[in-house]
Amino acid sequence: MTETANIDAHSKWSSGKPVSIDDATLVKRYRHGDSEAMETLIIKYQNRIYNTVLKICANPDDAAELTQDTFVKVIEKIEQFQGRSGFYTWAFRIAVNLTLNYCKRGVKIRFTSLDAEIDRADSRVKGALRQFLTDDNVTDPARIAGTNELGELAVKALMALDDTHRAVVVLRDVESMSYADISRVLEVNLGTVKSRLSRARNNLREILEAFLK
Amino acid sequence: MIEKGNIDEMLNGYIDGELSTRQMTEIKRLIRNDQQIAEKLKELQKCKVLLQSLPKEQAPAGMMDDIKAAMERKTLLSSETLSFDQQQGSKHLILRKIASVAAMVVLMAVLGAVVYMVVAPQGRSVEPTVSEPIALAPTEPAAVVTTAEPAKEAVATVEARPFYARLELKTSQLESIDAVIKKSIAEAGLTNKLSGASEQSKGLYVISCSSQNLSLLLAQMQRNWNKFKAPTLVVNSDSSDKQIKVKDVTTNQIAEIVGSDTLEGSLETAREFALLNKSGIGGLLGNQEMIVDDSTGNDLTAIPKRIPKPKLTWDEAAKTADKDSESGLRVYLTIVVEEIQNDNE
Repeated sequence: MTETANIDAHSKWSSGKPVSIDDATLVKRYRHGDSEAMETLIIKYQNRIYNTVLKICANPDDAAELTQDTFVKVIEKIEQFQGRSGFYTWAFRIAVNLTLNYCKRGVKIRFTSLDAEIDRADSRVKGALRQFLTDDNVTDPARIAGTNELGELAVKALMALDDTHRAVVVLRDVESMSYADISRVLEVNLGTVKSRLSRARNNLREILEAFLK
Repeated sequence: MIEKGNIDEMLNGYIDGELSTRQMTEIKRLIRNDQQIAEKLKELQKCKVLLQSLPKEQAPAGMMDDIKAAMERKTLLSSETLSFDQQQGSKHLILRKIASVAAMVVLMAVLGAVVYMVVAPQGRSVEPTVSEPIALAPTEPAAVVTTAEPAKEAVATVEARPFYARLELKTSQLESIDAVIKKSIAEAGLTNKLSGASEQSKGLYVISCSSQNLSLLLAQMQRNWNKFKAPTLVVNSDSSDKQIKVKDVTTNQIAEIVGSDTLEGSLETAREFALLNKSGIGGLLGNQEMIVDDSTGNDLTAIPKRIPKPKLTWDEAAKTADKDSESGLRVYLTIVVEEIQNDNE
């Protein structure tokens, strides 16, 4: 999926209103003193960046702060933006780097151990997960989106991944970013993206199965 | 055969739609033929679907305001920092200005020293001071060379050593000869080259001029040369206690002696003429062109074999003198005319 396609796919929930002006034009207008152009860009991407950051750091307050920091940095560094990549991938690179650095510090993120989570998973949650994993017909995300138990388990499983694997799987499955864009955001080559994604999904599968035991 | 790791990556690429057509065909064939791979594909798809089903969270309301507030705080902080930086910058600028001025002063001092070393010694250099040769046998003064002058200057001074000579003439008609000599001096344009004492007295003429100007005078005097008895040119040699006497000297010989480019050349010429005239050959030749020929049978072994330079005519001498009156060897010539009782003495 291309960058433009990504923007179109998320346009319904990202800003709430149709965006007809492309990013490069908005950046150019902002550089020429049009502050509303930057506001447009922030409105356009704030939800997507917040959602991605939240899935990586798992803390709404921290995600809000990191999103805010992301846009402040975007404004500060906009003169350095040369347009070699799209504004979209550039802004996400800043957001993901800030979030991964935040995760590395490990001050605010307090992970509970996987075993403790498994112990606390009651039979109702386990049942929902077992059904999900065994039902070959459950392939539509919208069908299970309302199942809170699965959502909580998914977040917990996601947080059990290491930072780099979590970032790549979030960018792919949550943000629906193409492999090429992921490689630009994470500043790694395409092969690394593929291998990390493969390992992340395998680990995620193992974590989910561990909930059922 | 595809490795397991590669199959996993290809399965992920398959569910993400990131495979090429050829890879897609291959993975579909594997899925159809391998139950394990098909199961693996389902597991991966479940993971993907689970994460896709996660709710898309909205950024907190007021995110835009928070960003603006953060930017204002940053701007405020940066302006405070800027103010501090500006103060620091002012101090730094003053220091830089002081350093620049100091550097310029040092540079000017160095340049001044260099210019002084190169130019000042030349400016202070004194022309070789020569005492006016009013005495009959003036002592050749040493060129004054300051100790600070470079060696090159000293060499130049040595090269500019003047030629000192005394022309002794005898006549029984001092009054008329005095008039003739003074007229010749005037016609040669050397009146201003004559020392003050010479104008007042009779029989003594101290002339300071170039060799070219002297040639001019000699050309004038040549007309009356036969009125002089026993003309003798006494030349101061290198060593002050030794003199070269050229007896029965002719005007052409004098012109040739002083016409040399260097003092050494003049002295050498004077020695040769002294020898020639002593042997009588020079006297026989008189003012004629001199040709040395061994075939004459004379014993010329002791006589230097020399071909004199072409003599200047009056016109040629005048032209040369006009063109460069101060060129050539500097000559201090004292003409002494001694009065005798009669021509027979």
